[in-house]
Amino acid sequence: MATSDQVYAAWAKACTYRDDYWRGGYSPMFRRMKLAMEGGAWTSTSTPGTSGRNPADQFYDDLTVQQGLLDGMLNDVCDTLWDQYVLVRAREEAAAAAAAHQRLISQLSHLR
Amino acid sequence: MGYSYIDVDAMDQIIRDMGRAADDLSDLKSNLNQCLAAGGVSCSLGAIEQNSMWIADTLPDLRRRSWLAHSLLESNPGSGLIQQVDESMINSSTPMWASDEEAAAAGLALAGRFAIQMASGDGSISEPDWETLRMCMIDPAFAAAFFNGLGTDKFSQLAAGVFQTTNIGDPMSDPRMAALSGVLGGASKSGPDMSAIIADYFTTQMQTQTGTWLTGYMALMSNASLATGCAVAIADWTYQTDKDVTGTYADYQNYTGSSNRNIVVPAVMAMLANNPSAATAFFTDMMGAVTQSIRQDPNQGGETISVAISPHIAWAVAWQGIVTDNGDSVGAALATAAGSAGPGGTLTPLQAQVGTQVLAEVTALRQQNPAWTPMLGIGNGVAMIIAHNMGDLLAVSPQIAFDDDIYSSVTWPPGTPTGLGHIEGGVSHLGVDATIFGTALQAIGSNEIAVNIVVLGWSDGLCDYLKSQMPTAPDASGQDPRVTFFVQPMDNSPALLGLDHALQGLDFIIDNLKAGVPEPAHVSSAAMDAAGLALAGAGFAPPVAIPAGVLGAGMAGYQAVVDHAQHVADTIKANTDQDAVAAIHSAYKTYVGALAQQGYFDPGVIAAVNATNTGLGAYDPTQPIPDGAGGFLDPPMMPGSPRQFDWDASGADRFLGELGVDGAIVYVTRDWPGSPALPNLAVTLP
Repeated sequence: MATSDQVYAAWAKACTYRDDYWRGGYSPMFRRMKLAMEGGAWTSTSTPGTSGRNPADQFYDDLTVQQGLLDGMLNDVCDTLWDQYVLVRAREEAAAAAAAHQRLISQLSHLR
Repeated sequence: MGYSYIDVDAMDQIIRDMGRAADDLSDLKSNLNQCLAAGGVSCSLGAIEQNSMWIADTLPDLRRRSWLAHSLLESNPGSGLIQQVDESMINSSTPMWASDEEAAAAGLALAGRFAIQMASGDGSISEPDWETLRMCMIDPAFAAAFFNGLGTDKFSQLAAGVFQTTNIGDPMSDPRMAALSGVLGGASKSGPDMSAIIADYFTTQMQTQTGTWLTGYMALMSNASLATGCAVAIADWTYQTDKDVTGTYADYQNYTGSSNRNIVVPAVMAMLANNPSAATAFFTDMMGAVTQSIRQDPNQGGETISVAISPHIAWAVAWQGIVTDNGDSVGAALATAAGSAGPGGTLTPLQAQVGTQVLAEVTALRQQNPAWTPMLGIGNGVAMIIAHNMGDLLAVSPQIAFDDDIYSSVTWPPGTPTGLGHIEGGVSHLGVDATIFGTALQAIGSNEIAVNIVVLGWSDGLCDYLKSQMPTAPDASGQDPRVTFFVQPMDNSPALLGLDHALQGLDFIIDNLKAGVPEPAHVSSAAMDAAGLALAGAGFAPPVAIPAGVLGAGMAGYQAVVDHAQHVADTIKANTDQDAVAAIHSAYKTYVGALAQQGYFDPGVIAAVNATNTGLGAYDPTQPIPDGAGGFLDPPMMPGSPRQFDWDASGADRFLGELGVDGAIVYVTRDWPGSPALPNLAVTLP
């Protein structure tokens, strides 16, 4: 099982990937694509006789959904690692406290 | 009339962004997986998969729109903004050209541009022309004209240039490969003559190429979406060529090099797997049918029957153990040919014919030589057939006994139910992806009471399946839905055969006890000791799963445990070699060691184990596990336990994650009658 330091390092790295992504990766691309669409890169009307949204609007909606999925997942990964770090850290602290307690009892018995 | 308005420059930027994103996503997944592994946790990265799939689905359409917009602009030069394009045209999947003649002219023109570029400079083709080819190749007339316009020599020269600069380990990731593959597939659909020309083109490559070049051509073929006649012709040529020299299957001397065996046949099978109608047509050819004698299910009379089998099926099944992909490609081709009726669906007669003959052939081979068992890598294909089509297959061919090894190695008492147990045994014996196995179980509606899963070495699929199956709340009757895991790390070794037998025995034990007369609910240490010792005495010690409800079944039940365990032990002693025993033994020690490392054993558990199974003995987690140790453990699934795992996917993840194991044997027991709690094993874990 990983130590709390190892988990912390993994969390920090994941956060870096997430932040890099938000700053210069796919997420800005999504934004750029959406801006391009909003700027009129492609607009369309529905084909007569067909149902549903027109293809361009559908593409824009899909962009939004896909962006949300990815953003949510990146947050989930970081949150999961952080939760694990808190858990492992608590275990380590409990074990250290128990050991210190034992040492104290031992020392006290010597004093007696 | 609907209209599209496209700014081609902005659209092209979107296309470039999406292409780059696809690459970035792959890196991101790898990086995040490393972080999660380092942190010892798991978290779904499914969003990346969804993103990638969406891009793969969307990008070709955007490219097509962009290309059409560019084309229209060329004829109407202006601001770069296409206005009032008929939306029904731009959205249509119908051909881009008004006639085949127009399409052929366009194909010929593009071939001319390719030829000029190949003859000048470094011979490379401009990206816009590749793009055009990618967009137009689906039109048969265009593709045929392009292929013919370029000529086979130049087409091969073009292909060779691509092979040289592509990642041949993953060739289809190269969009140029997809374009070439599409041309060949499209051309094969333009008429019988072109179909024959394309088939001949591929078989010529099989005879003349080796190494990377052969791999490249086979990748083109596998992914070409060929016309049915073309695909069948190629498969039949391969079969005939393979068979001619000595008359025995799997002789590949007619190919140019021995290494070709592992390239050609899997590629042909992959091609068939991508062409369902071709796969069914090929595997239902009964010319020169092979007759196999198969011993029936002893519960249905045990007579020997003869089944006529397509020589193509016999050839494919024979091949699967020899090629280096473990039979995956053969299994996929056979499963494709057998169709996928799905629950409530109906197979065509030809699909049913393939399914029954595949099962018959596998059964026959196993009866002829049990040593084939580890080689039966088409298990997944067989399981697919079972999963999708079991109802139909049983209706068509109830005499097929699936897993003769189980029948012959264990004396099943009269009245042992056929059906689920046998299918289960067959599937686990053949080596099947657990997800598919799960689908099989679902398909036959068997998971309502007890699902005993014995899957060795395919833990990912298994865990996915378990997660999908785990109840999230007590069922309608108010019973606590118990899910019990027994996890054991082990490889996918033939040594597991013996263990599988034992677990089949346990399966029976559980059934027997469930049907037993209720007796005073107490545990007989002596009887359980005997059962554990019997198993331990066989030279291995599986994690013996005795469900909670069974512990209250009483002496009659435990005597059955003892008797049957002894029988299983004797069977294993007689049939399993010592290496196998040692491998199992070692795996079990690792398993218990993993539990100990995780602090799994607390005094309560140890006391429970000691009380009921001397196989494990006075277990001391600080000491190495003694040889011969065995035992049963109830996992921390106790409601109210501080280490209770939830009845859901996160619980499964946590449990498996804490054990840190790669492979698993898992028993899932649910809704055991009269077992609202676990009185005999109600220990609180730390």
